[in-house]
Amino acid sequence: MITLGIESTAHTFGIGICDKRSILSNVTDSYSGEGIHPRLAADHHARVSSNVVKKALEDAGLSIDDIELISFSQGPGLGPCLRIGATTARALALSRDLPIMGVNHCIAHIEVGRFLLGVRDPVTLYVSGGNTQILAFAGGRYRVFGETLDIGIGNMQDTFARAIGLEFPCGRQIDQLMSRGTKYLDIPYTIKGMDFSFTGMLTEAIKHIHGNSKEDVTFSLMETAFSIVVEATERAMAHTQKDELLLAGGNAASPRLREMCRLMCDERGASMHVPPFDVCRDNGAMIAVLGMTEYDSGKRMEMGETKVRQKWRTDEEDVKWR
Amino acid sequence: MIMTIEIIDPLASKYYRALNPEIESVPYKKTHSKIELLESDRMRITVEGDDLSAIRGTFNSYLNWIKIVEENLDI
Repeated sequence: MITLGIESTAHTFGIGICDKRSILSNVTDSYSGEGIHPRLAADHHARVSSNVVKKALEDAGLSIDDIELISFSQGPGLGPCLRIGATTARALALSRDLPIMGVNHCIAHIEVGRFLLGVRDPVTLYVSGGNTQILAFAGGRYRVFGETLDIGIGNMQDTFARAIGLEFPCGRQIDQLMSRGTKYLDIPYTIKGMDFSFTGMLTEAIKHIHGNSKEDVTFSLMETAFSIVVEATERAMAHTQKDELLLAGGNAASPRLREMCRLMCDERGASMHVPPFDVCRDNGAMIAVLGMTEYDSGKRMEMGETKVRQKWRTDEEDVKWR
Repeated sequence: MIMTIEIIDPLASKYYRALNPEIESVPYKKTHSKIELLESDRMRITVEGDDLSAIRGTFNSYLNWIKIVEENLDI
């Protein structure tokens, strides 16, 4: 089944196309500005929508007539952005009378890892701008074993980057600064049970900017944040007795986070898996993969059920395909 | 204040089906809106509210979505 997936939860508008065996194309176009303004991001998505669809079809060597299923990010995410993706999905489905499937964005990050890497039953550390969660399958659903109580780790990183004068996207520059830091400054280690918080350490890091090098502050902030999420992930792996770790989300690109995860997995005798960056970040291919997987499991969706779900929790979805 | 626009287009029924699921989630709390398919080629959008800027914003959202539908139907 050739499936076209549409991603539009936040700053990225993406179209991906997959079949049962592989990803055939994966095109993204991202809004950029200082932070993310939901309406302006939605305006961006509306401007690029049809061109990104055309480019994805062209890259896959297909026409819209070859597509058999339309899948889209139904939530969670920013309402104005989600509605652009949902509207695009309905239009494409109506244009050829195709079935439509709204899927959960967070679960898509997991399922694309399972699809591409053959991971069976991982604990997933999902680290991005909007989400920071530790997820694992238990009792018929993907359960949230730990998560941020305020902002995502990527949001913290981007806000800090702006405070030290870096422009978005800043991930690579933050990685470089961090690798050159030598002095650890006191940053609050804010973990409570399996949940964690990033705003306090962000405030403290911004206070440290005056009188310390950018390298040392960046090192201290990111080392602390990564330590927290890796600690909680290790406890989730111990609790669930799972021996695979899947890293997902834009922050999975960080070499230091990968190193810390790998060390933790080696000590536990577990394996670590990271999809290629273009499917780690927000993208349409993962939405296509999950839509196809759900459709194959027998799930169907009527047009009237395609309203966006901004606050759709990962553990609200019954996982019928496992 | 109640304002309406009517769209007369052979694709009106598709616009209607694509927009109708979001009728309850239009991001403007200061307005109430309604979409009706009057005939297969004629759709009406009605927006009610006291704040003219909010009414304009609501119409802008609908028109933006119609543009997306039109462009993607044409692929």
